[in-house]
Amino acid sequence: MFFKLDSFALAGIEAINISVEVHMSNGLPSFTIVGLPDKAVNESRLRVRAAILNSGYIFPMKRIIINLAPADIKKEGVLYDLPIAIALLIVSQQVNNLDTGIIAQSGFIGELSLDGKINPVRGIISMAQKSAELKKKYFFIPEDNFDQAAVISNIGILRCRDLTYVISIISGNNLIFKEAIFSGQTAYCANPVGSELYKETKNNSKDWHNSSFSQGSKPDEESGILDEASGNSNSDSDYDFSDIKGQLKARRAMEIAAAGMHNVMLIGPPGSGKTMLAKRILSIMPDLSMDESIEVTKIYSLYKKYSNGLIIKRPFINPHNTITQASLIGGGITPRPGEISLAHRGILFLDEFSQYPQSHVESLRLPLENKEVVISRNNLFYRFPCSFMFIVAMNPCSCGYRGDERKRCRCTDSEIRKYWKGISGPTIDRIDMRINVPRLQDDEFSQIDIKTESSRKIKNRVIACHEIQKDRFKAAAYGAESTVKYNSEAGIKLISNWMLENSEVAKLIPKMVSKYNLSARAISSLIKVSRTISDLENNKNISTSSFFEALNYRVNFDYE
Amino acid sequence: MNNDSKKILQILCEKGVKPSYFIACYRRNCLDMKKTLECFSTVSANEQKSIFNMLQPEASKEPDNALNNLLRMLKFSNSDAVNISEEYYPKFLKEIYFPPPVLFYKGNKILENNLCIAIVGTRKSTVYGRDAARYFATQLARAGITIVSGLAAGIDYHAHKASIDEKGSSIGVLGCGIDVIYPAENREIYNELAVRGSIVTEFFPGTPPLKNNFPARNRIISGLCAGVLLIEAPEKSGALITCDFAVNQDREVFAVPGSIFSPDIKGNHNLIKSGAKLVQHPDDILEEIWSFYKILHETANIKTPEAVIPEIKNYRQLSSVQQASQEKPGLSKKSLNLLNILHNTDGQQKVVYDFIGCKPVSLEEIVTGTGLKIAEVLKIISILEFNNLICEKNLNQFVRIC
Repeated sequence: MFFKLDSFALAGIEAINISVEVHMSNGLPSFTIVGLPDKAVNESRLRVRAAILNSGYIFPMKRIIINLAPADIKKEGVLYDLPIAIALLIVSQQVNNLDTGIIAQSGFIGELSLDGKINPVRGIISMAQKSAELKKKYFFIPEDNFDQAAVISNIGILRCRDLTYVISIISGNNLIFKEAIFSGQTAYCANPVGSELYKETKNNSKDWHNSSFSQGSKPDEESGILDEASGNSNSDSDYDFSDIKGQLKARRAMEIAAAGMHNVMLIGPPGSGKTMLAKRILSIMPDLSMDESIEVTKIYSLYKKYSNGLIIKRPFINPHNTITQASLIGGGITPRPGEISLAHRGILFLDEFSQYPQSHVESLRLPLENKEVVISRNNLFYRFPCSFMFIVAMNPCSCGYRGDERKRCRCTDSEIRKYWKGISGPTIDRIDMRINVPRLQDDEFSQIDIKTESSRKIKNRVIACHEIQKDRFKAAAYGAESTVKYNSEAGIKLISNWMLENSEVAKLIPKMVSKYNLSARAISSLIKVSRTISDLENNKNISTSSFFEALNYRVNFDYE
Repeated sequence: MNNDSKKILQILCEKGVKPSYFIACYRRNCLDMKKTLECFSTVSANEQKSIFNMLQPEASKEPDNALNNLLRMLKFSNSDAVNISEEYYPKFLKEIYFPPPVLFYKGNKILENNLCIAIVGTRKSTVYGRDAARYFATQLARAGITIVSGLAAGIDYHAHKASIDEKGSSIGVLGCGIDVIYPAENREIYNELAVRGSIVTEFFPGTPPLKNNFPARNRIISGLCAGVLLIEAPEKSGALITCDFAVNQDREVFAVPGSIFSPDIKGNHNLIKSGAKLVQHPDDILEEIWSFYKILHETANIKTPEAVIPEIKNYRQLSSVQQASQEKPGLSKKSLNLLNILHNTDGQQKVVYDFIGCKPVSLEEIVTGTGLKIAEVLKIISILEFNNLICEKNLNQFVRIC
C-alpha cells in the first residue's frame, strides 16, 4: 500500500516542497523513516505511534517505510509528525469517506503531542507563502500558528486542533471544515515573548491591521487582544527625540537618515549622546509595511520564540562587540540568519564600533552592498536578506577627546592612526552619512533654549518622505514591484539620472572632488543624501542647496 | 665620503667614543682633523676604558663588523656622510655648541651652503597653521632661501611640500636613521626631498625614531639656519625647543601671531612676549637675516660654482616678493570676490557669515543667534566652507578663515 501527501521543509528562510511517502507492506513489523532525517524527525516515529493510539486509532503492525522526498535534502525539526500520521491512517484505511480532492490540493505541517494535540512549529509563514506559490488550495497548520499564516493571501488556512479534527476534515465533515477554514488575508501583531525591543504595538497609523480585521471570521478572544493593543496607541514610546538637548545637526541628520534609510556613523567624545541618538531613531521611523512585515517575520519565525504573531515594529539590533562572526553574519552547520538578518528592514546598531574585530567589520562589506547574505551548504544556497539601516557609533580616538574643545586629546599621532586603521576605508565609504557629535558645554544645558521637536512630528515628515520614494521607484520600475525601496538603495543608473536633473549640481561635483578629495562612492552617497533632503522639502529635482547640506554629513573628516 | 669620515665613524662606532667627546677633542686640537684622529689612534683598547670612561655598551658588541655594516647600510639607502672638517659641512652648523662630527645626508642640496630658514610648528596643525606654513614657505622659497624643517607631520609637512612645489630647495632633518621613514605617511615627501632637496641626520642608519632623538634633532634644525620661524605651537610643543636652541645659538627667532582665543597658538604669543619678532610678511624675515647673507658671502670658501650667492639676483627676487604680497595670505581672489558679493547682498548667507567671527562658534549658537532653521544654517555653512571663507574648528565649531 502506498500513499503520498505534501509537506514543507525549511531551507534558510525559504520553504521547499517535500512529499511524505508511505509504503506499508507485510513482513516483520517495523517503522523506518528515510530521506536524511535528523534526530527530531526520526523521533517522530514514537510521537506518531503514541498520538495515533491515544486518538483512538490502531497503529498498523506492518512493515512501514516513510520516505521524505527529495531524499538528498536534510530534513530538520518536528514538522512531519502530522503528515506522517495522516498518511499512515489513510494507508491503513482507517479514514472513512476519504476526500482525496482535499488531500491532493493541500499541504500538511504540524508537531504531534503524545495525546494527539497539534503543537505549533516554527517557520510557518514561509511555508504558507510557498504553498500559495504552488497554487495549493488548503494548508493544514497547528492552531497556534494561525496568526502568522493568516497574513498570506490566496490560500485556505485550516487551523487544526488535534489529529481527530484533521481526520474529520479530510473525511468530508463540512461542519468542521467550515469552522477550521480561513481564507482571505489578515494580520495583526503580537509581542514576541522575551524580547524587550519589541514594545507593545501602539500604532494605528497603518490601517491594514485594523481594516483587515473585519474581513475574516475571527475568534472573539483574538479581537480582544487587538483592541487592547490599538487602545494603547496614543502613549508615546520610551525613547523620544524631545529628550535630546542641543545636537541640532545630529538631530537633523537622523531625520534625513530615517527618511532615506541611509547608513550613519556617529563620531564623538564619550557622553556626547551618540547612543542616545541611535536608540531614538526607531521612534521616528514608520512601522513596517505589510510586505516588509512578512519578510521580517519570515526571518524571526525561524526561531521558536517568535512562532506566533506578525512583527510590525522595525527591529533594532544592538549586538555586543564580542559577538562571533557566524552569529553576526549568519552561518552554522545548518545556516541560521545572523544578527544582520535579524535587523532586516530595521536597524543594526554597532556601538563602540572601533572595538569590533577588523574581520567582523570587513565581513560587513558585502552584506551592506548586496543587502543579502548567501551561505552555501550541501548543494543548497541559503539566502538571508539583510537590508538594514546601519548605525555606527564610535569615539574619534582611543582617549575619546580628539577635537573636543574643553578636554585635550592625549593620543599621539600613531595611536590615532592605529585606532582608525581598524575601520577600513571601504567600510566607511559605504556609510552615507558621518556626523560629528560634540559634547555639550556644561553651561549649554541651561542656556540652549531651542524647543526640541518630539518624535511624532519628525515621524510624520519621514512617513511622507517614504511615500514620495515609494511612488518614485514605482514609476521608475514602470509600475512593477521595484527592488529599490529607499533612496539609499538606489543603483548607479538612478543616481546618474538624479545627477542630471540639476545641471548646477553636476557642475559642482568636479570641484567638490578636487577640494575634498572624494571617492566615486562618496559622490554617489552625497547625491543619495541630497535626494532625500530634496524629498523632505518636497522638491521634484535635487536642489543645489540640498547638495550643499549633504556635504555637511560627509566631509569634515580628517581622521584618516 | 672621504677617508677621514670613515675613520671618525670607526672611532665612534667601534671604540665607542661619544660624539660630544670627539668634538671636544677636535676643538682642543684647533680644528685639525689629522691631529684629532692621531690622538685617538694612539690609544690602545685597554687604555680606552680608563681614559674615555664612556664606552657605549651597545656599540662594542661586534666592533669589527660595526663599521662595515654601517657603510653597507649607507650604500644601500643611497646616502652619504660628510664630516665636520670638510668644507661642504654646513657652515652655520659648525659654530654651534655641539655639532655632529659626521652628518649623514641624502640628496645634494646640502652641499650648496645656501641661506636657510627653519619653519617649525606643531604636528597637529590647524587650517590656519597649514595656510601660514604654506604661505611663508612658498614666499621664502621664491626669494631663494632654503626651507629647513623636521620632516614630521603637520606644519613640517606643509612647509616642505610648499617649498618643493615652488621648486625651491628644502632640507629635512630627521630624528632617526637616514633609512627610516617616520612618520610613514610622509613617504612621498621623503622621496621627493631625496631627489629635489636633501635629508640630513646625525643618527646612524637604522636608528628608530626614539623620543630622545627629537630635541637633539631640533638643535640641528636651528643650527643649520639663519633664523627659525614658528608657525603654530600650543603652550607646550617641541617646536618651542627649537626656538630655545635658536636663541642659544644666536639665531633670529620669528613667530606668526594668531587668534588670542585659540589655545593652539599660545606658544607663539608667549614667544613674541619674550622677544621673538612678530612676522606678518616674508619681508619681516628677509630684512633681519640680511646680515647672515653677508657673513655667508664674506667667509665663503665654497668652490662649487652653483653655490655662489648672487646677491643682486636675490635683491630682484625680494622686490618680486613685495609685489606678490599685496593679496591677503590664504584667501584666494575668488573668495575675495565672493566676500564682496556677500557684503553687498543682505541674504541669509551674510547673516550667518557676519555671525561667525574670529572666535569659534558652535552650530547651536549660530542657530539661536541668527534665528534660522538648522537645515538652512547647514547649507549656508557648506557654501561658505566650500568657498574658503570659514572653516570648521574642533567639532561643529566654525571660525572665519581671514
